[in-house]
Order: sequence, then structure tokens, then C-alpha cells
Amino acid sequence: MFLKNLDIFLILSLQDTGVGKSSIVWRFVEDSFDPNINPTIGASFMTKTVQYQNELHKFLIWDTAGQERFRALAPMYYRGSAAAIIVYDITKEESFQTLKNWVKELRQHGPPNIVVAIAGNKCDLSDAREVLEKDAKDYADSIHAIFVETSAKNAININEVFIEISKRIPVADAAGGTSGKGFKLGRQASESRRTCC
Amino acid sequence: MTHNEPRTVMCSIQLTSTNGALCIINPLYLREHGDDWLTSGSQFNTQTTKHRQQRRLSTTRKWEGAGVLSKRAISLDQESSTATSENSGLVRARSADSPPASSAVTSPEGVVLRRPSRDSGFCSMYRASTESLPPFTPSTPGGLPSPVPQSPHRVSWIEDGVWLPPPRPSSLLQPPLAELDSLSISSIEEEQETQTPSPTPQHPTAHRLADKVMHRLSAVGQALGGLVCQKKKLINRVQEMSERKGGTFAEHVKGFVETTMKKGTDPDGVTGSEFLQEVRSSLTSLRETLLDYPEIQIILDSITDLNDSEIDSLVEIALHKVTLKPISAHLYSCIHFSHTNDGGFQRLQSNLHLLEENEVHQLGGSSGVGVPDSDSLEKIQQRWTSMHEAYSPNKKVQILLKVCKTIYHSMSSNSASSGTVFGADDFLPCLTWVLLRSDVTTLQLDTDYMMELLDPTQLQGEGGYYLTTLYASLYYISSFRPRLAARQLSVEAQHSLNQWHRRRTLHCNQSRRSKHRRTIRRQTVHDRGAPNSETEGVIEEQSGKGNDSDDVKESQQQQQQQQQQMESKAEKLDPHNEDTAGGGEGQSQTSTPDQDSKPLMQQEVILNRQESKQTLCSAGDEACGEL
Repeated sequence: MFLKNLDIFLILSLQDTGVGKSSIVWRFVEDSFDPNINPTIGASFMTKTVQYQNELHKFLIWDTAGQERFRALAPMYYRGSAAAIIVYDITKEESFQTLKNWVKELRQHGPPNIVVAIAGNKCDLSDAREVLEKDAKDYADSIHAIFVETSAKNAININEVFIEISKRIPVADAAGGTSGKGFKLGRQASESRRTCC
Repeated sequence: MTHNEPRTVMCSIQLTSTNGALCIINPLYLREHGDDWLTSGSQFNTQTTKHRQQRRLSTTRKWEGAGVLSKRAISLDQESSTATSENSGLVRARSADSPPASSAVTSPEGVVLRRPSRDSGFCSMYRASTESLPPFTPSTPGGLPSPVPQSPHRVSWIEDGVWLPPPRPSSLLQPPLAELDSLSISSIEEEQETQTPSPTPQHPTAHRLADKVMHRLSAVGQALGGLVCQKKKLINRVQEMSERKGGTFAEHVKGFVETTMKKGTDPDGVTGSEFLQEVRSSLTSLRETLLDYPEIQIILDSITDLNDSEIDSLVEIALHKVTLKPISAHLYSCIHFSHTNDGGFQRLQSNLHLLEENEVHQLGGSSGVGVPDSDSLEKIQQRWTSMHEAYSPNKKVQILLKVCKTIYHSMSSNSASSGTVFGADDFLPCLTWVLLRSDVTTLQLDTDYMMELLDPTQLQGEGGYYLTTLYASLYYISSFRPRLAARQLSVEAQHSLNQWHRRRTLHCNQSRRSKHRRTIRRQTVHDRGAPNSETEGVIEEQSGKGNDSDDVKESQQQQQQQQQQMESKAEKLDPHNEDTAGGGEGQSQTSTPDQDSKPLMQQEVILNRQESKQTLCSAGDEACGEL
């Protein structure tokens, strides 16, 4: 069993702070089976180790300020990340539109094989729904992204997001890197590839 | 508590108040010598050594719990003493630092932590005074705590949960050599450091051991546990190696310091972060050199409870003492020089004035979030100062984490709504708020210093995250444009970003301890066939943009590419920007980019439609690539 560090880049696609994104991470981390989970300073950086098949995946979750004004800072965070979770609010259509911009940015500037997961949060508030599940699902499929509707409030589908990410992370990662290093190596290679696009 | 009571106390734990080191007194010792020396009142400070010896020889009292607990530690009951544990802890800590002074302290009875064994009464007395024995008081007249005869290691310690071997019966007191060995180096070094006078031993082995253990204990008295001992051992060894005459490592260190001191401030030469990256490469080479030494390997192999990354960090810290300590002031002036030249400091300062009146919600935080009060802010300022004083980037990061913790604490404790989980959306504005009330220039220096000199493998975890956030926050301040959307980057800002990209990719294939053991120098030659090593490459790089070494070229390409992408994006954005920014000028006059982002949102939507095809295309490409 080997330990693999996954840098998970997490962003919320709108500036309605607090409610969605942090709660998802909190939910994910809080019911950890490991009571010795490292105490972290705050909810913007958290870690959790989950077992996936015969591997241990250690999620290093880098929360990223989602406000538009901080958009320029995002590359500092998603560099070297293996996966990104982009959260939108199903009760706000505009958050879904912003999400698309994040996806685009990640595709353009992010690490090449970055696994993108789209989480439509607040699915417990289906009465106020503005984004149809089908629309979001279609979009996610079109960009080969993981799609889940979640409810941080009711702990719906939170773990599923991370399980899906674990599934998609390449098993024997490029160059056998056991840390984010491997991803970085891979990224360099394909950045040159992107030039020909 | 009277002195009788503790007999029923089977197990007690003494935590030194200063650092939490755990002291365990072995029950066997108590069986042999009684436990009342631990717990008794303190009326008798002046005892003759004769008394002590008598007592030592006479009191072999049975201790009932010993049989049961022989494997377990009996720690000391601090409550049994009339003094507070704090008091005793203090004395102990002090005595470790300045032994003679402690003899003056009157009876802060607590626990005898250092119990040297001495055959001669004089020695015993002498020891007592230097190691603060008198404070620890006897229960019976003539019953000063007796020095442990020939069995100093009867006081065992838990260090980081690791047990030292249980003591043996007195006939087997001399431990095997291996055991001795594990103590030897650090204790010897402790001896050198603390300059404790130690009388010439009459019976070398026993006394030597006594000294060792005593020194070890005194070291632990000030330290956190076994890890610290190992760390100290490593640091001292590296220090010693760097001073070793004619040694390879010493030569390398000397060369490194000399070369570095000469460079960095020449405007025609390599400056700023590139210069620091060179320094980082040299550090990595030096570390590899260091790791090639068997003596270092032995120390590292003896550390079993740390993972690779933590061990790397230990080696780094040891290395910093001999390399960065002498040059840190120079490095600061180099960074200062470079930021003064490129106008970075000026931007930072002028934007600081622009933003400093902003409250945290104007900086993007949610309105309920708390900010540090004046006390916390004061504390943070002090931490910033000590962060600047630290020369090791690792140490700096540790201090940074403390600051972040303080900020986080303030966020929730001063927040309007309790129990809210605050993520990066609120932390970044809060940190920015704090920075706007701090010495941003110095912080920029320190951030660059950490960013460039920290071992890249250490950028992964929590330290890396918060360092990134600090960097991002400073960057946000210095690139702040009141009327333009944050998304549109200035040319300088792009450059700065690209520097960041480069930094995080440049070292990624550098070797780790357990993997490739080639040095960077060798790697460069080997992998790229380029004759120039990192350090030599520097000179060639100085010709400005035209860099010779391949990796630099590569990253340059990336930069250009990204720059192009960003520029093209900016171009697309521009017309809208003028529109919306112009239209919204009235409202956003107060420069709260909250409002800026609104028009941007619409823009995004438009853009999004325009570019959705493109997205699909690139997504398709990605898919192809994956196949």
C-alpha cells in the first residue's frame, strides 16, 4: 500500500462565501475515520487520507478564494494539482455560468490531466433550483468531468465526489512520483503539447 | 499533601511547564531508594553530604507498587510538592541553562530530574549545586534526596512516546555499548555546549555514563523530546562538518558562502528571484553532498519515526545553519535591491495607501467575519518580526503558520455568527487586511525568501498552502487596480506570475534523498548534456532573456505561451471592460471591487458563449491527449 499525495484544488464558482465550498470540505474531513487526522489551522487547508482499493490517497485540499477579484491568483493554487472540484449553487444560475469559466481556465492553464469534478451544491433546496440537473450533467459529460449534486448540509454525495476523484487519478502515476511531483513532471510534458492546440 | 500520601499514588506525571517534556521516574528506583524524596516538604535545605550518603546507603525501602508497575512509569507527583508545578518546571528549565544560578533558589520542591551519581561527597555536593539539587527537599532529617548510586539511567524518559529501555538490576547496570552509543554523541555535544564543569571521573564507565545521562537529561529538560535530540545531533554534526578543515563539505560550504556574498546586488548580474533560485540549487547540491556522508546517514537512519519529507526538512534545517545564517542579511539586501529596482516596493506601498482604509468586507470577505483585535494584531506584528529574524525558511514558515492560526482564531471568535466554517474566501481577505496593517515591504522580503529558498518538496503541505496564500495576498495588494477588473493583469503582474510558475516547476525534478542521489550539478550535465552546471549557468543567464540552459528556455517558452494566452484573453476582455468599467465608474468610485465583479460577470457570460466552442475543442484535445 503506498501513500499518494493528491493535491486537490478546490474552488467555488461564485462569491457567495462560506456556505457551499467550505462545508463540503468540512463534511468530507469531519467524519474521518482517523481520529488523529492532523489538526489543521483552518478550513482553507485540510487533509484527509482515504483508502482506494489497495492504495491510500492522501487528499491535500487547497481551498481557493472564489471571488472574481482573486481570479488572477488561482494559478498559484492549481499549479501541480491532480484534481479540482468546482462547486456551484444549484439555486443560482449565474454560479453555473461562472463555473464554466473556471473550467475553461483550468483547461487552458491548469495541469494537463487535471481531473475536474463539478459539484452542484445545495441539492437539498430543490424547490429553489435554477440549474437543471440534466443540463449540468450534459455539460459535465461534454468536458469529461465528474458530476455530482451534493448537499453539504445533509451530507449527500460528499464522499462520492472524492471517491470518484480517486477512481480517476491514474494509478501508477507518471514517473512513479509519490507526491505531487509526479503530476508536475507530467504537466511540463503536456504543456508543450498544448501549444499545438 | 503530606509526604505519606504519595505512597498510594502509583503513577504521576510531571510535565515541565515550559515545554511539555515528560519525566518518568522508574519504579525500581523508588523501590531502591524510596519515593519520599519526590514528595516531601522542604524544611531541610542544608544537609551534609554525609547524611546523604548515609541515607542513600540505608534506605532500601520496599515499594509496594514496584512489582506491578515495573514496566510502567512512575512519574512524579507534582501536587505533592508545595510549590506549583510551574515553579519547579521553571527552575528546572533555568537550571539547565544556567546551572549555578539555580542553587540560589530556595526550595521550589518538585522533582529531582537530574540525579548525578557521585561517590565522593564533594562531587555530590558540587553536582547538587550546579544541577539544582538542593531545591529538592528531603522528607526526613538527613534525608536529602540521595544521588542515584551508579545507576543514573534509572531515571528514564519518554520522548515522543518512545521508551528508553527499562533499567536493569544493579548488577547489570552497565548497559551494552550500543545503548551507550545512542546517548553518546548528543550528550558529548551537550557537554560542549553547556560547559558544565564535570569532575574527573574516578570510575570511568560509571561516571561517564552518569555524565552522559545527566547531560542528556539536561538537554531534554530544555527540549521537546527525543526528536529534538536527534535534530540537535544532526545540526551539531553538520556544523562540525562545515568547520572541518579540508573536508569536502566544508569546502563546498565555504565556496557557497563566498560566491553568494559576491553576487546578487550587481544590476548587470543575476538578481532577485533568479539569484535566489541559484542559491536554492546550491543548497540542494550541498544537501546531496551532505547526504553522501555515511556519518549523516547513520544519524538519519537512527530516526525512525519520521517520514522522508520530515527527514528532508531536518536535513534542510541543519544545512541552513551553516549556509543561510551567514548570508541571510546579504540575501535580504539582494531582494530589497531587486524590488526597489523593478518598482515592486513602490507599487506595494502606493497600493497599501489605497487599500489600507478598507474593511475586511471591502476586501472581499463576508460581512460576518471577524478580524484580529488590537492585542492579536500586536502579537502578529511581533511574530512578523521574529519571522524576519529567522534565517531558515523552514523556521519562517513555522512562524507564518502561527500567524495564520491567530488570524483564523480571530476570524471565528470575533465573528458575528458563531460556528461558521471559514474557508479561503474569507481567509484571504482577512490575511490581506492584516497585511495592510503590517510592514509589507519586509513581508515581501520574507515571502520571497521563503518562496525561493524553501525546499520545493516542502511546498506541498500546509506550510506551502499558507505561504502561497501570503504570496497571493501580497500580490493582490501590489497588483491592485481600483477600476480595472482583477482579472486583467498588468504586464508586470504577469511576469511575476510567470516567475511563480517557473519556480514551482523548476525544481520539481530535483532529487529527493532516497531517490536519485545525483546532485543537481551532475543531473544537469547528465540529463541535458549541457555543460553548464546551475551555478555556472547563472552567468550565462545574465544576458537577459536569452537563456542558455534548457530548462530555463523551456520555462521561458511556457511563460511566453502563457503570456500570449493571457494577453489574448485580455484583449478580448478589453472592449467590455471599458464599457462596463466606464459605466460602472460612478458606483465603483469607492473602489470596492465587489461591484467591479458584477459587470465582469456579464462579461463572463458573453465571453463564455463566444468561447464555448473553444472549450469543447480544448476539452476534446485533452481527451485525445489522455488517450
